[in-house]
Amino acid sequence: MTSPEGPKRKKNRKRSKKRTPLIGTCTSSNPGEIIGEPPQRPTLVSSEVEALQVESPKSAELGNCLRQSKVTSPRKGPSQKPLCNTGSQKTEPLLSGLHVTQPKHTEIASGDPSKTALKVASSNGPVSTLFTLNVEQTQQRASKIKSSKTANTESMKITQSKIRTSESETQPQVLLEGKTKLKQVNKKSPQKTSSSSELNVAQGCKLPFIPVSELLVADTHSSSIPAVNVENTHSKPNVKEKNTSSVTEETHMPNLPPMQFELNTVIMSEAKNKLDHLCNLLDSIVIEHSGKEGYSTNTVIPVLVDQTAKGTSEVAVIPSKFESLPGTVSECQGEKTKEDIEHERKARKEAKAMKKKGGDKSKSENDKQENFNCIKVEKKKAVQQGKPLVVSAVTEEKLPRGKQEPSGSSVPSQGTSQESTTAKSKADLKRERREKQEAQRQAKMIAKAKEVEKQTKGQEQVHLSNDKAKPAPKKKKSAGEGAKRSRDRRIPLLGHLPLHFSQLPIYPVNCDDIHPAVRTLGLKMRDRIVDGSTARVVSTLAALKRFINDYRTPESCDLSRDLAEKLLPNVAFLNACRPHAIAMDNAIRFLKHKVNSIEASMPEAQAKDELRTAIDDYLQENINLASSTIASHAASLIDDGDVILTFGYSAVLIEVVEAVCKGGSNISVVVVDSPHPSSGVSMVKKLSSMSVTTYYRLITDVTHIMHKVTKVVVEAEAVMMNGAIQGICGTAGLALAAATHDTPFIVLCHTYKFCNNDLTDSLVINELGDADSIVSCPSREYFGLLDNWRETQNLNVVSLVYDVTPACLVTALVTEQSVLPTSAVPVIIRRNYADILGQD
Amino acid sequence: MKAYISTFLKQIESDDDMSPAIAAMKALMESLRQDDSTTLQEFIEKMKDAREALSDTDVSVVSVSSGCELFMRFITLKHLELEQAADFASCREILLRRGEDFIKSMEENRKKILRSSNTLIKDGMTILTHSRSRNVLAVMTEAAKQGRQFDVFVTESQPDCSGCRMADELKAAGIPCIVILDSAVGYVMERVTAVMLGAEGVCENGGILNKIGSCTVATLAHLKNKPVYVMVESYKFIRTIPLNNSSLPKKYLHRASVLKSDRDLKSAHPLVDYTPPQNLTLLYTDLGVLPTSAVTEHLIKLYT
Repeated sequence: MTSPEGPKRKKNRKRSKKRTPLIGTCTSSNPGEIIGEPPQRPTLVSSEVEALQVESPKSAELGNCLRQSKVTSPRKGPSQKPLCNTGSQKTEPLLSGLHVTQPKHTEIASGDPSKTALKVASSNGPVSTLFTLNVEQTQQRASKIKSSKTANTESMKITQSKIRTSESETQPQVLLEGKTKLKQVNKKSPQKTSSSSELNVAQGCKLPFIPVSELLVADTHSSSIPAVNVENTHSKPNVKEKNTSSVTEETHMPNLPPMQFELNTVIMSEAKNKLDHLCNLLDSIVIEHSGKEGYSTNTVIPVLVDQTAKGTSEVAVIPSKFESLPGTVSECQGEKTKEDIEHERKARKEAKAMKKKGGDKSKSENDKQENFNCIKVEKKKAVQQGKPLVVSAVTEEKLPRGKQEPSGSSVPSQGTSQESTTAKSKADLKRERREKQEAQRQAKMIAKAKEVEKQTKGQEQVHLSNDKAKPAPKKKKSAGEGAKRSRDRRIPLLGHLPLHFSQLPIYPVNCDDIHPAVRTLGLKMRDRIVDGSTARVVSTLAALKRFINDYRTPESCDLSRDLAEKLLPNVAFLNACRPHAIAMDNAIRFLKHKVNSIEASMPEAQAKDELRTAIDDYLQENINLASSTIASHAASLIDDGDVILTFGYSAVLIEVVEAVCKGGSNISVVVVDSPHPSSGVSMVKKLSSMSVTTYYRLITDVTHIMHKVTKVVVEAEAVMMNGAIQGICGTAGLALAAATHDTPFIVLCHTYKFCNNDLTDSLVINELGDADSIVSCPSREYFGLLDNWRETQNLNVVSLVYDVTPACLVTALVTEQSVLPTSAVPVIIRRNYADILGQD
Repeated sequence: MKAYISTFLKQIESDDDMSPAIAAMKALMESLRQDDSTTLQEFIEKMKDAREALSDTDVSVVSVSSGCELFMRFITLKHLELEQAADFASCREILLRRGEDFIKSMEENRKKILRSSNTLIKDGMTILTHSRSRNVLAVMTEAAKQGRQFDVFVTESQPDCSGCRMADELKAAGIPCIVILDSAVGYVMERVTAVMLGAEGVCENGGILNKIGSCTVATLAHLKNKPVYVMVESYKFIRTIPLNNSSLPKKYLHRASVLKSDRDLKSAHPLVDYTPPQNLTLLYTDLGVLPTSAVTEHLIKLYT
């Protein structure tokens, strides 16, 4: 690393790491498994696989070598560890620790991947500083650990692969992970790139999809758990999760827009399901093994020969490759004996020595590996000899291309290498390679076509639930396709709204763009643990405050610029978890405005302090104080003996009722509720505990009771420029019923929820809720009748979250400023937010 | 009884053309001149008492209180300038000067309304009006002066028969008019081209508080798609939003003397009702011709 090109090398290495996971999954301990899958593989591949399988015993030897190398690795480790990934890395050690030391935990982890993931996520938490410590510990322990192979055949592959990864510090990783690392490298500091393989493995284990509740539970355990080997505990599902997470990470890359990100995940999942593509791609994966001696050489480097993959297309292709991995892994392992490895390593070293530039090591390795594979088929020795030369040529060529084409350039590079290196490669080899490349190209074309199809269908997200992860690839394929198709269904008129999936979305855990607090909040919001616009705004600002707390301005950067940029992925993450409420948009806009208005000359500490104070003030003024002011304003509108009707849960309304009761008035409250979700229950509970006469009814009954109601009071989610009220779905119907009975319709709203847009219907801006929840009928007679509604043509089930009440149905708008008519909204917006309105 | 209140009552009796709000402002000026307070704070406290005393008389409370509030708001508007004054004497000078200016400009208001409603009345129109409004009277008289030919229906407007007085004044101006029963509004409505109303107060949402029966007239007009125009000065804008008629404060509904008596208010006839903005078409004010939704903006500008 002393050479100036050090960082670049690192990047390359990581790239290569990505692919290693594939190798890991394939590890040949269970040749039978590999064979079992073949039906979908092309004949070409299968023959190769078989050949490899024969040699599989050698792979165990390799593994030993790797372990040894691993022991050595710790020296390197410390330097690399430091600031890399905040949450994810840290979590990893904890996770691994769980498995080893505490049998109970291991059980959980192996049996229920989601739970393990939970633990990991919880450990991710806030503290980046702890991370280094954990890493060191884990490394030491890792050295001690031996790979234990579980009886479970399915898990065997995975475990082996994991062992390898953990052992060789620098290298192996799943393709996807590797990519994420690449991205990191590209983005930022070299430190990140150097993260140890162990860490990577752990990262893979962490599952982003974990339900929040589980996470919470996991938190309690995590602190007590010592670090242990990652190897034993990993089960197949985990591996899959890894992949998905890595995929999502990729999507997070700054240059990819959020939409693409979702698409990519979808695509990835699909690709996984389809083995056919994978089989085609088998050829492209080359694994290179290096011996014990050098750290750099120790790495197991899988190479994807992906000529065409670039940008988004890359993502799509990757999953398929991943699936194909098992075959490739077995091949590589079977073929490589210790001798071979050593030989390779020596050759590589020579090559390295020759080029001091130290270009893309990984790429060169990839090329080597390709050559190696070919050789396997035909003649090993020839390949080995050829390697060094090829490598050198490749590295020189590839260096200029740099980071952005991780998997892509293998084909051209090979060609060039062959040309430049006159002596080694034989005509046969060339021919073979070309054939392979052709096959790969075809596979890619197919993959691309599929990708396009998927894109047109729309964004789809993947559930990473246990059942999905566990079943054999075949099952996935069939079930996955059906589910995909059904999930893709777009409802007429609402095609522009992001689809709702209760399990979604999947995100990379080890992506350091997203602060752990934001991540946690995102999951909570997705699971509706944090619900309601006010709660979401408060928690969002709190999370972003923590993010700002932990933020360090990189040198040579303006705080305002850099921070504003780094806010984006966090905000995007929240939006992906659940579309922003308008109030959240306003709050975030406010924060961005504050960030942007920080002068460059201001010291970081002061700037951060200012931001924190701004957030606190915002919460205090716009929410806390405003709520009590609203309550007193609204209480002045309510007289003794009134019958108030309200809808769902509203914290402000509770304050209003409190204020009214304090004023000595005797009122009764009718809480009208919608069945999905029935938030009114908690409202009723609170009201009745205040000894207020309370009635609870469903909104379907509202016309029965409206004539007895003297005032309808609801809370708005947002108020639009034209005075229209965005409320929880059902509010507009309530307003109509109130208007029919000439009952005053009072809306409570903080002015920070005022929105600079006009809205005349509830279709343009809205959010799709969980349609499945409304077809799940509790009554026995109709139970489950519509469970498969997605497969039914001409049937659309829609659950919208918001609706829009026109301004003319609103009698009065109670804000913290005063009781206003809806016509005052534009005035308020203009006066209060003139400074912020300009920007977006 | 304090001196300024007696002058206030006298003024209302003597000058029938003067709005009670203007009279109240003048009474406040009177009290300001006689004021012997030594600090600004004391002065403001005293003025507050004076306002309460004024609205405690048997006049239209709505416009008096809103006019007084606006007056106070205006003369004490730039606090800084007042505080920088050397002593309270000079401070009072400033207040007095401002008060005079304000009242003068308020007295100009009716002329501005006439200007804005200049083309409102056209030949051949049949106009229905309710009760007696100085502004409506002025607009009609002005139109008649310009030679416009139009007919007027005036409601009798019980309980004080102010409509009869209105009819007399219209006839004196040479405008043909017919007095109808309050209960005949529905019968007449189909022959009417427009409804013109005055107002004692304009709420923040653009609804008006006016002589009882206005709501009936406006609602019927709305039902028959007849435009309802309201002639009103901007100092009658008040910062409240009545949810409905039953939520009107009692001090608006009844005379102070009634409120003080032991009478059962349920059986007492209210003097004022609230017409929601949906039933109104346009407001002709000194600020120009406003839609009802524009009222809130002016109020927010004034008071924040």
